[in-house]
Amino acid sequence: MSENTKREITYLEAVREAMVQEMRRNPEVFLIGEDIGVYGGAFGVSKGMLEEFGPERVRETPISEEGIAGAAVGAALMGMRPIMEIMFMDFATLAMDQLVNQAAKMRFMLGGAVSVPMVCRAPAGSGTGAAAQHSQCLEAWFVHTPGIKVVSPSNAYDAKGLLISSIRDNNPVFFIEHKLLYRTKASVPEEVYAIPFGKAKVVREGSDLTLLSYSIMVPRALEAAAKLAEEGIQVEVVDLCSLKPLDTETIVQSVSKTGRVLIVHEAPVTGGFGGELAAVIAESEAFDYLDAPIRRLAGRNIPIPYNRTLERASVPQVEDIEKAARALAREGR
Amino acid sequence: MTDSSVLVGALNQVGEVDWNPILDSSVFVKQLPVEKLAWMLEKMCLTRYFEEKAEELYTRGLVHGTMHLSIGMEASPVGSIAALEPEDFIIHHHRGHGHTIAKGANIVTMMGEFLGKEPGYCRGRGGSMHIADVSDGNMGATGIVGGGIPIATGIGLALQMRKSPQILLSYFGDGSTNEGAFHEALNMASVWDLPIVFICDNNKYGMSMDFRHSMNVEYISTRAASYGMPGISIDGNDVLTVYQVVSQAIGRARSGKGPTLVENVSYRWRGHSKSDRNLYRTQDEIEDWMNRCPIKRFKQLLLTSQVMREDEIEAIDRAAKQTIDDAAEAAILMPEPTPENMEDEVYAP
Amino acid sequence: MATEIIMPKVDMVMETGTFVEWLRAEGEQVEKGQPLFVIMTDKSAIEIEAPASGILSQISARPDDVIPVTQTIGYILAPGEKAPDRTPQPAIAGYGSEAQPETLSQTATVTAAELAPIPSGELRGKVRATPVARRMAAQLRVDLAHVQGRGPRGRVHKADVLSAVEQPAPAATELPAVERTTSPLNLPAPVQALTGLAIPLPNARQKRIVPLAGPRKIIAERLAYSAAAAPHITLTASVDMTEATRLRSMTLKKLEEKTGYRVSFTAIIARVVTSALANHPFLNASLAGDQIIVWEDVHLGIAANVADYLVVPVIREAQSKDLEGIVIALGDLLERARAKKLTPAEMNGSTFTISNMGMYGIESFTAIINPPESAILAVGSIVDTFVKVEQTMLEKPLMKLTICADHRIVDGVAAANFLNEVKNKLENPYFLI
Repeated sequence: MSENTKREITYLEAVREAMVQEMRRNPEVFLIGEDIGVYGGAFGVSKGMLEEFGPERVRETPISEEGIAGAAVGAALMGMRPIMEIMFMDFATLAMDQLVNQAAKMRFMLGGAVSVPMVCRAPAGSGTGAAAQHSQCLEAWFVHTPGIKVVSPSNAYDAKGLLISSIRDNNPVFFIEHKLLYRTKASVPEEVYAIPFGKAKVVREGSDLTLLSYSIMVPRALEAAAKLAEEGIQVEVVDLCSLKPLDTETIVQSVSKTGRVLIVHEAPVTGGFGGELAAVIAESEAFDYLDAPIRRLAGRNIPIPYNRTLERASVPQVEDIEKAARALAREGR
Repeated sequence: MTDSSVLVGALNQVGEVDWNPILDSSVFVKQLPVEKLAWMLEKMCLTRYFEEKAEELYTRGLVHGTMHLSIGMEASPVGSIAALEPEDFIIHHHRGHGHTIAKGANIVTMMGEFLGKEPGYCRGRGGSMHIADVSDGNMGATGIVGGGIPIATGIGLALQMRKSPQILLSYFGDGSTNEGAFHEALNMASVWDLPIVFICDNNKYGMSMDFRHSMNVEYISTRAASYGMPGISIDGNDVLTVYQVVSQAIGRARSGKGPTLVENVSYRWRGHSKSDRNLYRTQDEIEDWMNRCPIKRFKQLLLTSQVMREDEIEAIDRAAKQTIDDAAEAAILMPEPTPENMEDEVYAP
Repeated sequence: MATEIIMPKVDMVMETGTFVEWLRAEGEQVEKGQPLFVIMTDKSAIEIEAPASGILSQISARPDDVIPVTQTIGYILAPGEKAPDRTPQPAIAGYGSEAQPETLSQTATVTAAELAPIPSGELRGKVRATPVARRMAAQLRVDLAHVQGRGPRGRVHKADVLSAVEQPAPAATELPAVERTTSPLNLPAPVQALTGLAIPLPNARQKRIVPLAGPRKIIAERLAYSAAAAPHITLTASVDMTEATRLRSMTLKKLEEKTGYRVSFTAIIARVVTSALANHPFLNASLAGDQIIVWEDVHLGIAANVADYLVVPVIREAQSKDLEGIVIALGDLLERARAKKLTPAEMNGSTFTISNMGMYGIESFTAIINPPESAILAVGSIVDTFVKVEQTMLEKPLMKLTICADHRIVDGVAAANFLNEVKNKLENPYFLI
């Protein structure tokens, strides 16, 4: 093992490193968004990039989300590889026409004559006290839109590798970051590496129950699984990494093995991506191996509240996952 | 802004630009090579006949879906694209048959797409609203009003970042200037001095809404002032005026001076789409504008200025009609696409 | 050159247009672009312009015609020109003056998927088990009904099946409880063969062809199945309806005031049949594969003719209803049947059927069992008949009852006993009040 692989950096630094390395490698890659220059981005992701790449390629914009998205779509149509930053995933609503009607449909609508190689990066999630309009997880909207790919890394290592793949992909990719993960650290190699889409990871093996998750819920699931192991309950934790394309094979294999599945995400349960996962499992051969109902643990059907206690109670926490997993693992045993 | 300082030949003008004088078309017509004039006439006739044929095919039930006809508005796309270099770009709107033809689309392939056929430009996936010939710099049209304007900004940004000498014409209608997208995109393009000419094809109605009821400015070019961008409104039914003004705006764009907003005032004879019943306007108004037919006017000009003979003009007209008839015949025979591999084009490899 | 005038497509979703009027008369000179005729779409009336200049000829569209788009409705001709030959094109089927003769499909709320379901109401016999437990039980030949489930509400999990294999359950002494199934009964081979039998049609002029669809198709399939699969036995008895008639007139007014429905003989018979069925289990039973399911519930089907087709609304759990309850349930079902407001569920899942043709003057008849039931009671009209009673001829209101039963599970004596009990109860009906 080289020194590099032992290097620990934060999720935020990993995102930056992916952008910096790709921008050094390919002059067609550029970053566009609000306050990404001197300010370094609302969360500091692009700190220092203006100095290295200048205002042309670290392109600060007016507060115009639709304009930013349109600029990214137009530049991508011309063969450039823009990375657009939406300051909070909630603000994607302002760019919806460009993302959903333009970027996603352009290739199909023109019979394959064009491609739109762009990345839309945005931090999602609650836990910062930012309340209802700065805390949402809106992945289901984009998963539901043919033409867009959706990835949602749970750790610094995956963040770097998946962002590099996103930039190199020839399609619009929604790259969902999580605010609470920005400060988490992982061992991240300094060299450039790409993690292919559509590959889920079994991040903890277990025999009693499969826990499917992504983004912030993966570290929470791992914490819960460690506690349950002390009680003799062996939870297998699967990190989906990319939601679209989805690695159904790994999901079906794991659920077939354990016979039980708990799906955990932060977004509200109703209409959430968990419903899709449940359907994928129920329609697959894993159905025949199910020894308990498929269960979802997800955000409550409410806007994210401001108050710390209320905010915590609105999305799954470690103890909620632990409780739900324990109950499901014991059902009928 | 319509004061005494307005340039002769312009209906309205804002911003600090030294426009070269706009010559009367009867004078300017003699300054252009005959081939150029013949090209303009040919493209306008092709557009008119294409749309009349489209309408006929639609009425006969051969067209699935709807379409938006630009009959009566042919001068704006033809006059402006005549001022482009072949390697320049356009991006346009849902009433874009004229732009596509003027940019040099293959009529048969275009008709094929119109009929939803496999050999059509978009393999039958796009239809009338999305005909695009990307390889020829036509970046297509969007069906979302105003949706193409932010994309234009992105294309302009790419051209500027690549230090390309190419420029882009971005077309949209009067209605789309009330969309937020117009504001965001023009503002950004102006802030960054992007090589774009924004052309508003003002045909007076946003679907059924008279543009005078949807905005409190008489001329859309006035709106350029708020972006610190020059704006100019002209007779959009005079192909040579369009050519003169857009040529100058292209010059600004190509020399790095930034974007211009050109409003081509025109009128659509037909309804918004095929479901339109024309309940919002009078027959008198439609007939008044039919008398200002851009093609008839241009033919008259060519004749009276003795640049072309009547038989030469009619030969171009007849050839255009024949081209369209042949294209329709060929397109009808084209194979239909099949649904098996529709997913293939959702994502690029 | 002749120019066709067609019904234009003026709207994305338009398939037909209603012709309103010609604005010019046949034979008149018209100019291209002039308003020529008016059509009505689902949005509004619109004027259509002449497609060419010339003489309006050969017009075929008349006011209120519903015409498919692109159909020719006339010509514009040059002077002296003749219109091309054309075959007349009728207005689109299903519109216009001649409505489709059979409107079965309008009431086709019953779908094939609902063909002959096993009646509901026996969820207590349903085994709760996880998918893997079911699969393992099938492989290991474990009867899930005998496995004690440790999951919530007794759900059987994989672990339960495994421990059941280790400790086999005692052999069942009674008929095992069976799972509820909603899948249609499989037609036996002879029935399937029938449907494929090629019987030549007579050489005769056809008047019209009515598609076999909707409820008619379901009736056809069910009854063909029943006639072919279930060997029917038929027993008839005469019932003296003197007392039942008296009972009816005694209670008529009071019950009508109370329930809002008239007390019919059918209601009285239904009440009697329900009470008799409790003592004759195999007449309220279903044959499913190699099991006979004896129903606890009496879901009583009442065959009725409404709007020219057969419906069998079902009185659920009739065994728990007194005469008043039956009157209300039957009155409500028939009222809604006439209004075509019954849901498919209300016309399905009966365990026994009564068919009364008395009101049609039929004295007696046999009926085909409504599968998966085991019997059907055919009720004839009440006829005043002279009978010899103790040396004298007395006029009595007699009614013939015919029980048709599935001989596979109902013996002749069992059917006779049932019929006799119904007869006795109708002749001594005062237990009803």
